[in-house]
Amino acid sequence: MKRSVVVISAQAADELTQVGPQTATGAFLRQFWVPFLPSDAVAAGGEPFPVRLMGEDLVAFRREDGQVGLVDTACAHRRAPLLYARNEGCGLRCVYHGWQFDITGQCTDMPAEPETSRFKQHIKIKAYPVRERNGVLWTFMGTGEPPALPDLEWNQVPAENVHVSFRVQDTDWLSAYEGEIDSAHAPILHGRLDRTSKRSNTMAARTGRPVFDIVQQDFGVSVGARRPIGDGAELYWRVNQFVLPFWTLVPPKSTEWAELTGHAWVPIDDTHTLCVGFTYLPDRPLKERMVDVFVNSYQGRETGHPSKLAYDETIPHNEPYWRYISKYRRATNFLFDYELQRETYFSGLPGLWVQDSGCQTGATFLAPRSHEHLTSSDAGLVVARQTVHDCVAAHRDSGELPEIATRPDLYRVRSVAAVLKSDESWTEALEGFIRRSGGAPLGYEVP
Amino acid sequence: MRIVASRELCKGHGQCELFAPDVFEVDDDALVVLKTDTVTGSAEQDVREAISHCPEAAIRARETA
Repeated sequence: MKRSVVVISAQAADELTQVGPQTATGAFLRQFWVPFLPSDAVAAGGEPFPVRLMGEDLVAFRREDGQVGLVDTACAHRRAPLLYARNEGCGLRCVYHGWQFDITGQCTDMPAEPETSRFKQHIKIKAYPVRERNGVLWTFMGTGEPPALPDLEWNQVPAENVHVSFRVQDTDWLSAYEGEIDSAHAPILHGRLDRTSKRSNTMAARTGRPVFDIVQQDFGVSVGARRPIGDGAELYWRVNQFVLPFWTLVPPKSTEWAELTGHAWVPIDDTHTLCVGFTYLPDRPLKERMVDVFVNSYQGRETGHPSKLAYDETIPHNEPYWRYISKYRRATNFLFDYELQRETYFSGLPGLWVQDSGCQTGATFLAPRSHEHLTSSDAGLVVARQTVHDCVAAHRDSGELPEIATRPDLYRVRSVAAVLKSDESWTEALEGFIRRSGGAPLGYEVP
Repeated sequence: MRIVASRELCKGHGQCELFAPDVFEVDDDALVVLKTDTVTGSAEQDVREAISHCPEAAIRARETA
């Protein structure tokens, strides 16, 4: 399983952020199902919603019969915006000349044309297939017959077991997912000065500097981080997963906070990412108090998910993903608060996800990767970068895809946190917990 | 008058069928079909109308003696 790993060049890494339809990375990513909206973003017969995925501007809408369409942003006639189209009958009717398109993109009506005209039969706009599963809309933008939806546990458990959020980040997708693979930042960036938070008392915050052990897997990359406990006879292991092509899974934090979390980092375009966050318990409902904190924030601070107060309600409705653009972004300086940095938060950034977003986004548009200096704690992202790079190159050169592109079952994987004896092999000891899925209990006590 | 129609260029607007129904027909694939490739007399004017109304310039005619 383990292959030799070479650090790819900064330029090669930067190329992985180019995701448009004519790019090698874009062509690779399009061969995977993409979660692109929550179901409630489009009401039956309601207003269309502007979507941008991998550089393509699209419009999502739900017909009266409940079926969801995802079609080109412009009418095929004179390129008028379908965002203003009337959602009626089989699909969208352009308000300019009344051309109507169904969810396959087929033009079905041209009311200004002679009745005898068959021209509409020749007109079809771009349209992507949409699947809906447990409150999430998925699309497939690739070529060929799409595989079944991936067996991702968070999207298969009962609704009360999971909290899902969507937000836009002004970051290329690579910077975004790499931020979550790197677990070395967590006790630092998310640390507090007042030492009152539960987070400050977690094992990761209490123990020492992490040492990393990276393993390439059929699903992507396992990033193991070990920290010595006490005299070193035992090790605290946290295993984050990078799952192809853009998924990260983060282990539970403590016995009390035993939830599994993670993200899909879906490229909106080369410089924006749709962050689809999920927190779930495989075998039981989330605590109401936890969901309340996610939805309403905690004492005015953002937590692991964007609260309903986090979104910027002034964004015009023709901006792609307007509903999921937050107040905490580069244009607002992430509402950074220097006083907060002196007294409460190590970072001064107001809330957990804001801290991640601020660091992933902050200066990346100014400083290309050639200005990076990667270190031992970046071993995971180096291997993940290499893995994506190799997959993109293989697909570009020979059309070859990794097995996971056509094996939905390979997504049955979890992140793990555990205490092991110092001479135990973590890959052997934890394999059973990593491959556990389908709503089964964790099977171990979270340290 | 000799008539030529291109099914490559045709997009099924049906204008030809409207102006010269005895000469042109749009089939189930929404593409032009010639019922005849030669016309004479008053039908020639109908074909000229059809040609001038085709948005795709998919039909042409050559005047014959």
